[in-house]
Amino acid sequence: MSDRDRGIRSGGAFSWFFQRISGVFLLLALLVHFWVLHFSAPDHGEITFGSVMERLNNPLWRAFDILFVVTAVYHAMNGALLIVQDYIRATGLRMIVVAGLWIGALYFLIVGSMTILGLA
Amino acid sequence: MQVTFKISRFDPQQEEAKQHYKSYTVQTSPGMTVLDALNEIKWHQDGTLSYRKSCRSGICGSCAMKINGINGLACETQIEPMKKKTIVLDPLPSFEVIKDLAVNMDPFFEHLAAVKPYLINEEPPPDRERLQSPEEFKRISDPIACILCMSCTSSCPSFWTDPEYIGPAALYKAYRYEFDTRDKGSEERLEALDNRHGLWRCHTIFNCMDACPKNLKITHGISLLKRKVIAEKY
Repeated sequence: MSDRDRGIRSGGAFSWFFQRISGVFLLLALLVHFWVLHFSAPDHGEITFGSVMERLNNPLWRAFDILFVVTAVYHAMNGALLIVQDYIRATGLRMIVVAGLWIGALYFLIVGSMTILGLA
Repeated sequence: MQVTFKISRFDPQQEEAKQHYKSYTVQTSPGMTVLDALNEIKWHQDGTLSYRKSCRSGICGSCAMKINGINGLACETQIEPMKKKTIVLDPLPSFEVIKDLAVNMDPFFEHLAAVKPYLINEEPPPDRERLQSPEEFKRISDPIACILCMSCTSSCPSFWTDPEYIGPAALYKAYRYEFDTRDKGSEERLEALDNRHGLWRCHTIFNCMDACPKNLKITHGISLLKRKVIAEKY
């Protein structure tokens, strides 16, 4: 492993291919998310805490939201690692930035999942 | 028309050798190329100037350099249509400068060799040649026109940041054999292509296509190659 690769193991065929697949999924999921959360009013014409909770009680919606969080974090993390790989050449700084990115990714993953599961 | 050529100079034999610019004035005439001007300077003004040249016909790829910020062939670039009073000449970016405008081309050819740029086919040859239809040839006729001048690879930001990246020229050469119906060497080439310093380092920036003096669709070829590798793997 050369110095340039230290701290980063992504950047192969899977990373390239799945970045595109997750990108398409995120685009569609974002449209669904925005529509459901902000525009569609299920019964009484407006979106209320009750109507959101009712939706979140459906395990399929919870699974969708968790998949949404996981994919978003993966897509962002993979993209950020590729940018780091291209632009940060100093090994020390690279390790710090990659560590920071991992902490951020884990934070969003845990907080996002806890929110989805905790609300229901 | 009088044109000033601001040329990057570097002499490794000088103590504390440093890159600097030196200006020369050349009287140009219609049809005169940047290479003609360089010859004029070397032959009549300053014999210490170094640059590569050979065929002066856009075939050998020796005289590629950065001309006013864009990579290209000195022998194919005419001066007067540029309508500039000053033309800045630099060596190709990202390669070690040997002297003035001449760079060390070894890394470029090492990357090229890595993709095995030759026909791989273990099957016994037929009585006559291995035939291709005109349509099959058309798919590879573009990359066959590549003259390996290094303009694309040295214009690629991914290559600037990663000297281990094999670069657009090598990838385009790989495309030329991967899409050749007579070639059976996909597996052997995969090792050089399918890694983070290979195909996946290309971020479709298109600098290579801007720089290519032969106007080849390099990024297009690399994208088709990506799809082919993905289709074979997944």
